[in-house]
This record gives sequence, C-alpha cells and structure tokens, in this order.
Amino acid sequence: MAITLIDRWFVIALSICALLAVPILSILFSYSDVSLVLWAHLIDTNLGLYVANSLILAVGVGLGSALLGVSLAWCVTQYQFVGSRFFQWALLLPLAMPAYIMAYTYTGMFDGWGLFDSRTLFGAIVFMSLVLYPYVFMLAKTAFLEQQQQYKDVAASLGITQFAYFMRVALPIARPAVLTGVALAMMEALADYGTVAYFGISTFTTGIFRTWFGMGETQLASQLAGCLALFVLAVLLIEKHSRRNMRFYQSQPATADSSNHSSTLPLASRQHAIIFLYCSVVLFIAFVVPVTQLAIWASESFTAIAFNDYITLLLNSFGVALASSVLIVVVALLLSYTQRFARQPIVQYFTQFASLGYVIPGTVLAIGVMQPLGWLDATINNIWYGVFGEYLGLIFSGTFVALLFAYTVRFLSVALHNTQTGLERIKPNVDDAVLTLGRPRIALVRYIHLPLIKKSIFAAAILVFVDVLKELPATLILRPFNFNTLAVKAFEFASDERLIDAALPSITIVIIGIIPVILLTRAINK
Amino acid sequence: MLHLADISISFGKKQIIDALSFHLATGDIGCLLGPSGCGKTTLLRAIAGFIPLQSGTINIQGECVSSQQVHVDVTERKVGVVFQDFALFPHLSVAQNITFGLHELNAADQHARLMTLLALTQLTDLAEQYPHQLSGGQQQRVAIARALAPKPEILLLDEPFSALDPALRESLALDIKHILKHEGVTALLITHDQTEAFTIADKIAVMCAGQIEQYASAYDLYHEPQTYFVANFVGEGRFIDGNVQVSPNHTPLMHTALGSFEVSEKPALSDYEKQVRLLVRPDDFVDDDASPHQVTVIGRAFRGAHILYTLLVPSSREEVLCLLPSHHDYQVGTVIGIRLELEHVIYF
Repeated sequence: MAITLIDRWFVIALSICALLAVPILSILFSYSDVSLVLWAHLIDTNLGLYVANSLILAVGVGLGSALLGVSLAWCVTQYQFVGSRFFQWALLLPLAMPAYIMAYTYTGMFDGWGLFDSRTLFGAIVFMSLVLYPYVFMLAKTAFLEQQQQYKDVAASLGITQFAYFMRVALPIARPAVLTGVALAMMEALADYGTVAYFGISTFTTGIFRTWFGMGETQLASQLAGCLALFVLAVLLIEKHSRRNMRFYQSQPATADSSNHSSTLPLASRQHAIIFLYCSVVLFIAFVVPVTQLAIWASESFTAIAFNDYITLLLNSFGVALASSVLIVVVALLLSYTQRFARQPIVQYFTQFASLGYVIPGTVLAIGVMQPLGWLDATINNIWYGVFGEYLGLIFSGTFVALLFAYTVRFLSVALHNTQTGLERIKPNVDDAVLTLGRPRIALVRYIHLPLIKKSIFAAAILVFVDVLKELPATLILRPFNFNTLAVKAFEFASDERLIDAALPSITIVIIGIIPVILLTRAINK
Repeated sequence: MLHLADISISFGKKQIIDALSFHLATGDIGCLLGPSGCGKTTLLRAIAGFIPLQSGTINIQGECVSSQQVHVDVTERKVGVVFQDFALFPHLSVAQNITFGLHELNAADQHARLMTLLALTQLTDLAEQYPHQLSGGQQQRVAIARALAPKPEILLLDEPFSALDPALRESLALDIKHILKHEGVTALLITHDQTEAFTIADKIAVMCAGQIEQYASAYDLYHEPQTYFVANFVGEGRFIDGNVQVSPNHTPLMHTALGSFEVSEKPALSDYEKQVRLLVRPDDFVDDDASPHQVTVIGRAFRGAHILYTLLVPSSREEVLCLLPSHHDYQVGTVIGIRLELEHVIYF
C-alpha cells in the first residue's frame, strides 16, 4: 500500500514540476516563429540600447555592490568599534527597500532641493547598488567569520600587513561567497523594472513592456524575454562555473575554537572614527534617510479618504500574499516529501529545475505565463462558443489563477529551500525508527516531522509572503483588471510624480520587508 | 526464531546478498560480522522490512514475513531496530521517546512498561531530559529502551557502538549484553568490530561479499577458522608457506620455514605433496634463545604487558607477527630465537 502511495505522490510531484516549467517552455516556443522584419527593425532601433544599458546596469551594480558589500563586511568582522555588532545586522536593512522606491524617494528629494537630476543610468546603478549590496555583505561576512584565526596568525608571524593579508589570503578564500552575492545582485539588476521604467531608461525589461503593450507584438516581446533570460542564465552559469573552479578554496567551518572572539582588532582612535563614519554613512544613505523621507511624506498625505483606499490596498496585498504563501508552501512540502520518501535522483533533478524560476525576471515570467494561458482561454472559449453559442470569458489569464501561478514559479525555490533544509535536518534513520516502532507513516509526519519543521515552514511562508508583497513587474502585467497591490500602487503614484501619495504604500512595503531581514539575522546568528 | 533461507537481494544489476541462509534461536544474541560493503547492513534492512527480497524467505517466529510473494510492511513486523546514529527524536524527552511505540497500550500500562525499562537501562533519573542533554552512552541506552518497549520478537542492532568513544565501547557492550539477556530478547547485532562481536554475541556469522563464511562461537572463529577469509579477518595473524607431505603409514607433516608440524590430513594410498598457507597467530610464539629459528626484529609496537613484534624470517623472507611479554625489550634489528607452538594447525 505504501508503495502505491509513494508512486502516486511521485506522479503528482513530477506533474507539478512539469507545470512549473511551462513559462520557460513557452518562451522557448515563441522562437518557433521568428519575424525577420520585426527583428531587423528592432536591431535598427532599440536592441543595441537594450543590450548596452542592461549590461552596463548589471555590471555596474555588480561592481558597486561588491565594493560596498566586501568593504563593509571586512570592517564589521575584523575590527572592534562602537556599534560593530549593531552594524553586523543593521547593514542588511537596505535589503528591505525595493530599488524603485529608493530611486523615486531620492529623485523626489533632489528635485525638491533643486539639485541635479538623478534620472540617469548612473543614478540607477547607484540606487540599485545601495539596496543590493546586502547580498554581498551577508555572504562575505559569513565567509570572513568562518576563516580560521590560524590563517591570520600565520600571516602575522610571516610579517604580512593587514592589507596584504586581506588581498592575498582573506579575499581569495572568500571569493566564491562574494561572487555568489555579486551574481544575485546582478540578476536582480537585470530583472529590475521599476527603477528603469521610472527613470525612462531603455533596458530589456522596459523594452519587453513597450513591445508587448506599446506595440502589441506579443511574440516579439516573448522573444525579447528569452534574450533577457539568456543574460540571467549566463550570470548564473558564470557564477556556478567559477565556484566549481574554486572549491579548493572553500574554507571548512572552523571547528573547535570557531568563536573567533579574539580575532577582532582594537583600533587607533582615528581609524576607529573613519570606520564608524563609513558604516554610518552607508546605513544613513541606504536606509535611514529614505525611510525618514517616506515617513514624512506619508504623514503629509494622511487623510481619511486616502486611508480608506490604503486599507483596501493593504487587504488586497495581504490577501494575495497570504494565498500565495499557503499555496507555495504546500507545493514545496509536497516536492520535499516526494524527494524524501521516493529517494529517487530524478525527483531531485525535477525539483531543481522547477526552482530555477527564482532567477527568471518577473517580466519574463509574466510573458511566459500570459502566452500559454491566453492561448488556453481562447481555445476553451472557441470550443464553448461552438457548443453553446456564447463566450465564457477569461478563466485563467487576467485572473488570480495567472497571478498565483506566476508567483509559484518565481518564489517556489524560496519556500523549497526552507522546507528541504528543514527536512534534511531530520536524519532518515528517524523515519525508519518510527516505522519499526509500528507507527504508521502519518504518525511520522504528524508527531515527528511537523514539530521539527514547523519553524522552517513558518519561515518559508513569511519569506514568500514578503517577496510576493514586494513583487512588481509580474503583478503589474498579470493582475486582474482594477486589482491593485501596495507595490503596484506605489509604482503608479510615483510614475505620475505623485510621490507623496506613493509614500504610504511604499513605507508599508519597507517595514514588512524588514521581517525577513530579522529572520535572516537570527538564522545566521544561530 | 529468525530463519533466513536462501535469500538474494540485488540493487539493479549489483548482487548484494547471494543465496544466504542463517538462523537464530530464541533468546540468543547473534552477530553478523564483516568488513564494510559485505552486505550486512542490507541484510539487516531486509530483515526489518525496508528492502524486498528477490528470492528466498525470511521467517520470524514461524511466520513468513518476506519472500518473493510476501512482504509484511515494516510497521507490522514487530522487529525492533537500534540505529547506528540512535535516531532519537530530538524534540521528545527520554520518557516520550521510549513510549513512542507503545501507542497500543493504555496510559497505566505504558507507564508500567516505561518504569521497567528506565530501571533496566538505568535511566530513571534522566526520564525528563532531552536527547541533546545526554552522553553518547545514555543516548544509546534510550535507543535500546525505545526499541525494546513494544516487546519486539527480534531486536536488530546496526553498528550500535560506532558513534561512541572507542575507549568506552567494551564496557558499554557488556552493559548492553546484560540488558538484552535480562529482557530475554532475541537479538542480532551488526558490526565490523570483532571485539564488540566477541563481547556481546553468543554466535557470530562472518560475512564476506554477500555470503556467510562461517557461523560459530567466537572461540571457534579464532582457533578453528574454516575459510581463508575468516582466518585473515578474525584476530591478528599472518600466513606463511607450508608444504604438506602425505604418505601411507606415516603421520602427515607440514614443513615450513619455522619448523615442521603434524597435520590432520588423512594418510593417502599414495604419496603426495601439497603447497598450503599456514595461519600463524602472534600468540603462537615462544621466546627461545636456543631455537634453531633465528629471526630479525623489523618492527615493534608497545602494548603494555606485551610487545607486538614484526619479525622477518631470513630463510623465506616471510614476515610474521609475534606477541612477547614486554620484560624482554628487543630493538629493531636484533636477531632473536623463537619457537612456533601451534595448538591448532590451521592451513588453507
């Protein structure tokens, strides 16, 4: 009986994985009909701009976040200064700030002061680096902390200076971690729609929007989305490849005396001041100032009518985020359990493939969801019309089905990562022990697994919830007519230069975005 | 009690267990001893019901639980297992761990059984502790108590000492033997460590490449191994070349570089000679300066009361191990006289 049950699960799990691959396949499929005329036109006009701007943006953000992330991580891990422990987690806070909110907050401030115009590619690079450096910071910090004190002692005994130690020992060892962080930042930069759209910069994401909605060329938009996906894939592959070559460098987590407590250096007062100032300035620019500005604007815009709209917005956003996180966690659990019980490598490959959705930019994903669902709706309606003589209307596209589907593809890996590591922490022998004690498999899940993984499930749900809440481009494209979320409304207000109205939804997103930062800090400190 | 007849197990094309038979009497503690990769863990998982059989049958208490047609689910087998890593439930207390398999009993009976087991395993004071608060030896006793709680018909122990401090293994093994004998449970231990096997088991099956080489007491395995593998695997020892000469009306003799020995070969009708390999254990040697067999010390390991020497026999260039009392302290390079005194002449 047990075997057939596992078989049924197995089939369900593989079907889910196949379903989640549909958007990617749909993008691939769009290349079956390439219009040379349209492409020739595109090459003559905007394609060069899309490629160049997207590349400059990605590379610029990669460099910017690497510089900020590595230098800050080095400061907080190697030196003992006032607030160094506070900065260890506080410098992660900018992660809570979506790039487009950062961008329009500062742009509005500069406009208000009559300062320079920051609506440039360089401006976009700076703002995105300021919110994306925490990826590098977080990973580099862990890598620096894991490096064993012995390395430093050896270097010191050889008479090597601090700077030489950093360049020749610490950084090379931390390089795989730093590269992963940089790759994440670059992928986010490539996927960004809000900032570049607000600044009017032509990149792949804005190009896809323009081609789809402006020109109505869905096929071409889909093909452009394919190009962008290729760029992201390239970043991912480069990262994977460089890590493979550097496995040699991976430091083992320090064992017996891993506390590293003695490793931080006391500082001369001048250096002390410089480092403190540096960390403070970054934290201020990347978090404190924009949040304060948003708070001021939000309080200015606060009226009873606006508040009513705001509550509707809040309920919409929370409702769709809650529904998605429940759905996605259930799917993640189902896949993780199939992986655990079936113990078949093929499940693992399928699951890995399904969780690739996280690297697909929201814009690309939305296009990949729209096309097949649109086709499905049209087909169903045609058949319905043929039989009943009337149209049924949209069932999938332009409804919550499409939205939830897209969210599932994009955020499944976030949940999967949590449920998988949660389950992996329970040794397989524990499962066997329960069975040999004569308890059925359901007792295993209920009395052993659930109590042990409920924290992971909760974390998965929270992370998905916040990610859905922050998501902009896919929501913008796929949302049902007249359905607004906090992110969509904040972006629309900002695009209409109604920055003060945009402040309340924006600051709500930022405050909720702090939750995963706290979860992350606690997970790291554990 | 436990009866395996002609069982075969393969994963894909790889044959793990090959037509193996084995039996264990009620109340006995048996042991499967073998190097890693010999199939002993697979065998244990098949008995527990995690792995189906390709052929043969497994009977427990006269009931067939595994065959080509039958596969009684693991949850219905009444087989207790103590896992290598103990697999205690980390979020449950010692008492909750032990009573986990007692779901069919009412609260009063559960409590009575718990108290019995806590007393037997000397865990009474730790009943409310959690696994991470216990020492390795205590965790192991919890694992055994939990497996014994539902009164399984047979208890399987998978390398139960490998996660524990080697220095403590022998004394812990004695504790466990006491617990098992007190419960009167039929048990099967799986290990690659012969000291554990010798300490706990009544009878030991030595396994190699999916088959049982010899099933006997520890004494017999050491002194009368029946296959080359068993002779080599159990205890320390080396082989030297021998030449058996058999002729009618004479006691058969084996000639080696370290002397000649009577062997129990049947006198044949005609003369013949046979090249064999003679098992020489370290404790078969006596220190004798007057011996005609002079050998060179080429290695030494101090073991307290004794020293284990590696000796080179000059005439045949063969190396042997030799255990001598440590009041004679020979240095490497010394030439000494030794005599080989064999109680059992074991050769293959």
